[in-house]
Amino acid sequence: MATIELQNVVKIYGAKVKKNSKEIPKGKRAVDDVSFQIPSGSFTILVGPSGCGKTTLLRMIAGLEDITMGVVKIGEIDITNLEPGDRGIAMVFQNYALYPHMTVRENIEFGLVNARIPKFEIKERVSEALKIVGLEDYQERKPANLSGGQRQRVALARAISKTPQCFLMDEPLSNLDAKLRSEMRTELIQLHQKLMSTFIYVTHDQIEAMTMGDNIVVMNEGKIMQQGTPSEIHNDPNCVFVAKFIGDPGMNIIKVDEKYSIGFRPRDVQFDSEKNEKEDAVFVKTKILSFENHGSEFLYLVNFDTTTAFVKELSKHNRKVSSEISFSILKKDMYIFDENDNRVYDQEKIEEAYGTFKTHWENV
Amino acid sequence: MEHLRLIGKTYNDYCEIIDSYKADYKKTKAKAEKEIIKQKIKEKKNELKEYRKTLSKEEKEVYRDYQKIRFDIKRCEILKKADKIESKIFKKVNPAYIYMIPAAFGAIFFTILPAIFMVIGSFFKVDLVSIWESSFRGFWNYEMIFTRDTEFVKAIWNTIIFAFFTVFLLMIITLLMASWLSKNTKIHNLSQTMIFTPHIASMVSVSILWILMLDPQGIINQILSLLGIEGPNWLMNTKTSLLSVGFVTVWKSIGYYVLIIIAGLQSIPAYVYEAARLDKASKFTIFRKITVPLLSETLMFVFIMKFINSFKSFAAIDLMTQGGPRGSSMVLGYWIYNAGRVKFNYGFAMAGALILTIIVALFTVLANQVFKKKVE
Repeated sequence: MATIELQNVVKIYGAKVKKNSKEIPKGKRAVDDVSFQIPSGSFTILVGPSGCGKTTLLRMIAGLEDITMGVVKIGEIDITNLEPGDRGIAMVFQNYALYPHMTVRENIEFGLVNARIPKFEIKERVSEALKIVGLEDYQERKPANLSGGQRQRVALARAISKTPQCFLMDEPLSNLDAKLRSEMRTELIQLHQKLMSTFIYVTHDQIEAMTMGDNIVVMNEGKIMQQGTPSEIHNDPNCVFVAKFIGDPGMNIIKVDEKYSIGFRPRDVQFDSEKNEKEDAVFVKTKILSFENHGSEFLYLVNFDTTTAFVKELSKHNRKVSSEISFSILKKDMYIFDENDNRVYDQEKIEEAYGTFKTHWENV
Repeated sequence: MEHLRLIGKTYNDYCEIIDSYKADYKKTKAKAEKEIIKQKIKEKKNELKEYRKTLSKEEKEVYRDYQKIRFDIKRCEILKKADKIESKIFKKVNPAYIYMIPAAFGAIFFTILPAIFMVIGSFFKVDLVSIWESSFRGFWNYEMIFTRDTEFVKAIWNTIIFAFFTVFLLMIITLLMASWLSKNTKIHNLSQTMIFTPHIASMVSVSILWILMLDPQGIINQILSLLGIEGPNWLMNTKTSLLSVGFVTVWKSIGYYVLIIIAGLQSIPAYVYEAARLDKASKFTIFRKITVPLLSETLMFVFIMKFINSFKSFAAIDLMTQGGPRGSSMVLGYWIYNAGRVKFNYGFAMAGALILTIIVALFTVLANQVFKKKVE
């Protein structure tokens, strides 16, 4: 068990690093000056859109990519320049990365033999790992004769058998079909609880991030936007990007004026409410452009002045397209962002933005 | 717009009429009537020409467009007819047989028939000048080459030694070179090209070059003498002649096989190597436990191809040693040539060729079996 610490980590592809030179290499930064801590025993999720540098960051922790600048520590040990095999980590790849010419047992054994572990212990560890993933009967099969889910389990068993301080997972579920994915999701959560070691999990799927992790790191364009628990990230986003990225669908962002924009979640609206002067709320009357049927709830795309917004209603009956819809948004459900897309916490400014928004909408 | 469409309509109308006349022309049999219809067609064509002359430049472009469309439609009709005929034929005959004809022609006349002739001829005392004078001798040819011919048995052993020496030398060198060159940088690409050039060069020029280099006073012995070693007379020494020639053929074919192995290396996915690095595997372990097993199919191809090529090698021996000195570099390929084309003893040559075929087949099957076990 150990915390993982990243200090000012930078990745520039194709940059040559000279030792002991203070010159800062130039180029496009895939990972841009990232610093954060991963608490010991946490299930940390790196989430972000494709190309945001999350996989690069994970591969840098694994040692598969050189670290252009910065320091990575596991516990007190600086592992920046260590070989991948010496870092005390295990990785599960998106495409499983099993050795195609070896049987399941040989696949798991390979790393243990290289680590010069005595035979009796290897035997025990292999059977232990296979038991955890439930593949005891498949020991002598080759990866080609296994299904996608089974292959992923073998990859997991290979990681487990090394008893690492930290598991790194690079979108391990994205090659599985939807049903198997949700099964494996719960299995991974259970595995984490059983092993109690640190998990770092990369995904682009915010639902996966919200459901699995207890510590979420949202990344965009090589930078960390926000780090926190799932509830913090969802209920208290610190910028427009996080607000829009998390949630299904993400937050509606409406521009108020040059300075401010406000956001509200599609779920946080009161339908068919009467205009009420006492309550701190904005009353909206508009038209439905289209809708999606989600079974127990309906998602409506509504016209919002010059832009559009999503609202979600828990109901079994759908409203008709292009019919009128009215709802009110409570003041406490609104999030205010400034012109740089950062969250505004200052009470005065919030009042100001809210006032403009309200007067604008009451007059439409 | 409308008047442009009218051009098309007029053009098509003219063409319809001409086509109907043409159909009539085909139907009628009387010569006088035919002449009349011919005249009519000419008239209509002239009318169409006149009409075309009246058009402006822009209209002419439209006219040409319509012309093109009409031609295209006609072409498609003809193609459809051809398709119908084709499908009629292919319903009765498997198309595979038809596509096979050109290859089968070559195979039958230049491989299979000569091979049958070889098998039959090996039991005769063949006289190529008057072929009907040949007499059946049973296994006499075989008996002779095994008992009386001093060089034949030696040639078999030499061939086997030659094949194994070249194959293993080649496989070691190419595997090492390929794993070194299998990167995509400018220097590596340049070296790949340079290593490949001997393969393009003709065997004759390569052989002459190496004869000069392997000369007792050649560059190789001069370099060796700088190191204080007295090099042998490579090609004229009974101990070194066969291996020297083998080395030259290996040198020539390195580039080709390196290319094949590089292709095989590049088909091994990168993630396997990443997983191996995470599994603490050293470079040597990765090479032994990952690269070689995953490359075994490519290696098998290289092994068998080079093996067969070595068994039938002829040009290098002919150019460099002519089987000498004292039969030390005599291989079966050269022995067969020598028996047939030099001594004009075709019966011997055919018997020898049949034995060579059997040996090649045996070794290939054996190698296949060994590799199959390893691949599985």
